[in-house]
Amino acid sequence: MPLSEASAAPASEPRILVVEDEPLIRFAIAEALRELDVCVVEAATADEAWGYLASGGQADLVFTDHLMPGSMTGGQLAVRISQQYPALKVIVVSAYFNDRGWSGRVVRKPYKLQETAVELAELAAQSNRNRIER
Amino acid sequence: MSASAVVLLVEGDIAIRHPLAEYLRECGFTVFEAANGDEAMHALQTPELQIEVVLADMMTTGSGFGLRQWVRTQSLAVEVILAGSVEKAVDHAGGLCHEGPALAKPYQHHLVLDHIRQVLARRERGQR
Repeated sequence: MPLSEASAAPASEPRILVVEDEPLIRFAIAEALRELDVCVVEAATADEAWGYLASGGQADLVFTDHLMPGSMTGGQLAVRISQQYPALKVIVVSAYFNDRGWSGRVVRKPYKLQETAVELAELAAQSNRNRIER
Repeated sequence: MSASAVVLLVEGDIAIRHPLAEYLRECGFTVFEAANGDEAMHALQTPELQIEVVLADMMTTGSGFGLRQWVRTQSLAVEVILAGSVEKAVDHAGGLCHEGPALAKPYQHHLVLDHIRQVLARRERGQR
């Protein structure tokens, strides 16, 4: 992968922004996705994820935890993304989700690692094809 | 430096952490990313991760020396490399890559620095 594709330019490989403040959970899903040839951008908070996107960082899919330290929950991040980047798909993951502001997809925690990784990789690949075609 | 295969990268700025981690992955390392000192300690207390080298930004860890000290008190067999600037962090990553597990090197590490600088500059423009 040339460096120009590592972060800023449109990617040729699917890219997922994983937002999770629990490092071991984040490592597990990130590594499972990398094994499926997905480029994973790891963010430890919703604020960090927003900073990445706002500075031009690319993603085909955002997979975010809900309850995290910082100024935003994952649900609030999801709403913000859907307003600012309507083409970017977001999935919120939570053990207990009661945020009425977000009406998009929510995955319950604990989730099955391999199954979830495969599904996320497929969704990202699909979005990636659409993004390249746009 | 031995050709260790698992690196913990401790860096608080995603604009630096992500490209640097990707660079090290291209060099054949398994890289775990910690966004702060707490995450780093959590990772280092997880033997299953088999972390051999820690590359830490001193700003991120509060005091990088504190992290090194903590590693010593925990009797962890990991090498701690502290970087006081993004330039130093990239240089150290280049050094790891040079002696790393993969034979084919992906690209010159100064390109990583150029890339990081571009992203940081773009972010600064965006914030004005």
